[in-house]
Amino acid sequence: MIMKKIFQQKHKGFTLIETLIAISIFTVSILALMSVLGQGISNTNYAKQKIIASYLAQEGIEYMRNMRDTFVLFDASSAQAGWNAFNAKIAPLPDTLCAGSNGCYFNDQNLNYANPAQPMTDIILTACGVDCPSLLYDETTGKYGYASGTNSNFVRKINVVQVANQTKISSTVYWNQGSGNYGISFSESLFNWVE
Amino acid sequence: METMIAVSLFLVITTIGMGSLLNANLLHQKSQNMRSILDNLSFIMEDISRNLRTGSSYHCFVAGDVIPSVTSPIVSTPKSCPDGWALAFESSTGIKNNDDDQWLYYIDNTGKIFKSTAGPYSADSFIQLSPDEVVIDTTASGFSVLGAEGVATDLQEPFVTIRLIGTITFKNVVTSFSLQTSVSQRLVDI
Repeated sequence: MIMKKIFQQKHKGFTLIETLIAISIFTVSILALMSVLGQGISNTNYAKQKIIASYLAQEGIEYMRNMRDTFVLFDASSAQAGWNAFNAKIAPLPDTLCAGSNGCYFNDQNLNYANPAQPMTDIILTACGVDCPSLLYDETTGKYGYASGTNSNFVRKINVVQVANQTKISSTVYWNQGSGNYGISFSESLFNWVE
Repeated sequence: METMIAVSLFLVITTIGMGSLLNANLLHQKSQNMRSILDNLSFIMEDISRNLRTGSSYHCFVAGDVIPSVTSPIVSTPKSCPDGWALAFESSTGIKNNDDDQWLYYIDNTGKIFKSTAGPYSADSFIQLSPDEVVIDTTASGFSVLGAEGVATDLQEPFVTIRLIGTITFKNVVTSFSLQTSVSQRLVDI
């Protein structure tokens, strides 16, 4: 009797419930695969944004370094006066402007390529509020700056720590993408190298 | 009847399953290729900025200028410009009075980036750096050189801004990019 029952059950085939469970397990596995793929695509996009951000952050360091060199090499009176002028430019008073807690941003729209007298010292440094303004991207000139263009979604902030004969520059670029906020930061110590 | 339903269910599910697997593979390959093109772009930018940083005597070519194809002192004469399409400079290992050892980068009018490390600068001494999938926007991209000339002409440490703007076209998917960085010459300008 029992044997017969088992035999009969074997020939019943799949029930609807069993089929539904099987299909749902299969669907879940496909969905998992899809989410991994989605992650891959957003990672590629993240890599692209990070490449752009790291070059913009490095640019911040190079601007500050060039300003130091231009001030120190070409000051009318002495290299020491140039070094002092550089430090006064980035922080007119201790712990203000770029040395302040919110940092600063620089605007190079006054950079005059026809001016032979220390053009780099004409860039405008402005203290950031709680947030620095976003860099604008101008599609026709291809420039990132603050003069013209549309919001590039990147924010660049310069922070400075001044010690005697040493100025530590940190340049950070922030951006948001998807639901996350990201940032990349470079720093460099500039020294008063002319005795 | 049951067999027919079972077989049709099986067919539908395997079709969907196989379709999504193949699609997944395709997407994976696309994103992998995109990554290598991006890596290549990043390499070009890194190569230009690193060599410029350690180099000197920047000479910028603006619209209308022609790169001399025979040995010429033009390439080794420092010259600034607000927007140029090519840049020649003395590499860190270069010899000052040699006009044929300048390094040269340029963006041609079809949107490709070329590099040469030895003159005379005829067409066959250049190698192409950018892959064919990348097309550089020649109006927006370029080099801005500030203060390249010596102290007699300007009081400014040499400074170059590099802009690479363009599109990557890969399997009918167009992705645009806009890279910008600046370089301050490490050699003291005195």
